[in-house]
Amino acid sequence: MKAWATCVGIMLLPLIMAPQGSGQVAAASRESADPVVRLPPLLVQADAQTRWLHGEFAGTEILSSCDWDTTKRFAQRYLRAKEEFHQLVPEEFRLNPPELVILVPSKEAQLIAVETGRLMQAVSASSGAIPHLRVSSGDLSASFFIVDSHVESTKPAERGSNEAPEYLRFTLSPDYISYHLSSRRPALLPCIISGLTDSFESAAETGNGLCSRPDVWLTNADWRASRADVDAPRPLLPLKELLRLEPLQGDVRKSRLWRAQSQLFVRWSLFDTSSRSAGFWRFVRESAQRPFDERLFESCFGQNYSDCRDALSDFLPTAARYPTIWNQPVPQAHSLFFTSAKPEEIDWCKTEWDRLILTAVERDFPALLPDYRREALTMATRAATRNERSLRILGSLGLIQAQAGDEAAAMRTLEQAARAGSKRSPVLVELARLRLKHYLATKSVSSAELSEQETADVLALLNQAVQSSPSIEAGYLLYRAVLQHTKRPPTPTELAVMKQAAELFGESGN
Amino acid sequence: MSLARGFVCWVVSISMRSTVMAAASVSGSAWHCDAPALSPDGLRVAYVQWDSPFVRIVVVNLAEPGRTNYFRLGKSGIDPVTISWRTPLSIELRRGDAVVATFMADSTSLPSGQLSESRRPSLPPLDESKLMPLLQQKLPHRTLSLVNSDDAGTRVLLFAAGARDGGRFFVYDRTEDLLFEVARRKSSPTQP
Repeated sequence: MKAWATCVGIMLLPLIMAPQGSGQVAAASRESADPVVRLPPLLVQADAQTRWLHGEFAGTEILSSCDWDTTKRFAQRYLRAKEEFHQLVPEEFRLNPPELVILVPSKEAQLIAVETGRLMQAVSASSGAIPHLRVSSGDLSASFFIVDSHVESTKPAERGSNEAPEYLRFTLSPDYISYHLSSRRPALLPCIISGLTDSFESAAETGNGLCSRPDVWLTNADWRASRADVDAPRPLLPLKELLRLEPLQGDVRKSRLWRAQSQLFVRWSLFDTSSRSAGFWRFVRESAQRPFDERLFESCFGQNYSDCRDALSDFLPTAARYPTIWNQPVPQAHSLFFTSAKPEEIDWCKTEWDRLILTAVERDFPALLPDYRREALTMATRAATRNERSLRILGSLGLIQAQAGDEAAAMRTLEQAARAGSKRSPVLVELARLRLKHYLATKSVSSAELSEQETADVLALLNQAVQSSPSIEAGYLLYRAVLQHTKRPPTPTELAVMKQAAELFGESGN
Repeated sequence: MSLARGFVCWVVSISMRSTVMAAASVSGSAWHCDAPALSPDGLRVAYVQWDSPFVRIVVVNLAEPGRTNYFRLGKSGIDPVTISWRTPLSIELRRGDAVVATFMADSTSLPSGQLSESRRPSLPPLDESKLMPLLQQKLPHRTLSLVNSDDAGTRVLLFAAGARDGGRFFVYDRTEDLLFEVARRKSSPTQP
């Protein structure tokens, strides 16, 4: 059970291809000598005349103040990139949170808080991509883009060509892919996450469908010679080490080989012949569920570790020289219909962004956190007042109140949301936490035990939460805490929930 | 001095081909290899490779994998030969006690002594009884046999039999804990 002590925190990551990660971005922004100008949070300053478009497509909600054509083309590109990721990795093996995407044209970029703008510029400068940010929590992933649809291309030679404009030339970043794979529970093997992420990063759309091109990992210094000479000597890790090791920080060469061979293994499994993919996904599933051994591997692939190592070695010259074909077509652009956003939709998107950005502000601009919290609280309260029937805004308000430390107000708001039927896991878990805290506050230290009714009150919320979002780790942690404060032994149902927690968050592999 | 035995025939000519791209045009899978020998500095492996009626000596460079060199020997009947390294850069080909050829393995590569020196200090002496179980873990389901090692005892050349093909030769670097695959032996070699 010890492995699930770490909650899935809010992540702030670049969405578009970016060679540097969020930590570096944050560091870059912190190192800037410019004084931080205190402005209200993101988006709340959009003037009343801004015309927002809204659309929801297969779990992705898009709010845009760009023109209709730009919004549609951007959304098509974004959804196509997601679809390509989904073609590579079946739903079972990735996190699938609802997504919120906000687009703002560059001419309105001054509406963005300076701090957020600086983070976006840092991402843009490091990746050459359009300014953007993404914040994620377990239940929602939100992305924010500044789109300059008037800049078609920065390269003079490309002007006038039929190539897509710059703001449409992007795909999902390795950070995005890695986050959705590594947040999946039970956890996938590190080499699977790495191999799938790199295979997607090197993916390309061609006239014959999708493929993964030979990348810097497959053509690393140790393997480059095999592109020209199939007999060139090459180091490969034994399968046992590949499957069990994580990247070794101190051993650059072995770490590089581990990453390259992870990708080689994924490509060999999925693309070398069509007959291996079913066994591969079975191995991915079962190795995440329980400690695995060579027998499982052999039953999935029909060959033992040594035979597979040999097969990878034989496949290497091909993978290092030629693109590996996915046997999947390039997804078609869908017809997307946007409508003028309703007030509730605008308020919801703004409120959620303000809520999610708080954790990033706390990490990167801690001195500004009180201002951001206050502003978020003010705007969420207004939004909740304007949209009395909106359960999701009510839930967001309660969560912001809890983050701001006003637990009494948060409990009232969240109780109201729960009574009205809110099923959002973060709302239920936060309310359960507040109820537990409230009940325990009435007890003496020596006998901090919950009554049967109190236990039932809290567990009812948590049962709903873990059923709707099985991977919400905080829910299980709270569940365990409740049972620790209960005098009676756990019921079979409660034990089943804890067993499920162990399966989802316990250590896998051996 | 590193020695390995193989079966090569009458040496007609020796010509060095410095050949990254030329090698690509030769399918490695069609060739059979034998008599490998690790150089004294552990940086190169030389072995005999043939596909009837042609025979050649291959010298792979572990420090620079793209610098494999091929020495064409021509064609003729079967005679046992040994490959031995006189120095880290020169190879002797013997039939019985007679030296039939001597040549430089790789005159263009960088001096190798520095790498060898850098690996030397931290390792305990090579102990086969401890090494073999370790290698067996890395290559399960294979029958392993050590061929030779470099002078410093940091790298060993081994043969792993039991694969679906005829087996493979590996160099294990004890310092880096890495296995380099250096050659494959086909299961049905076309011997001269």
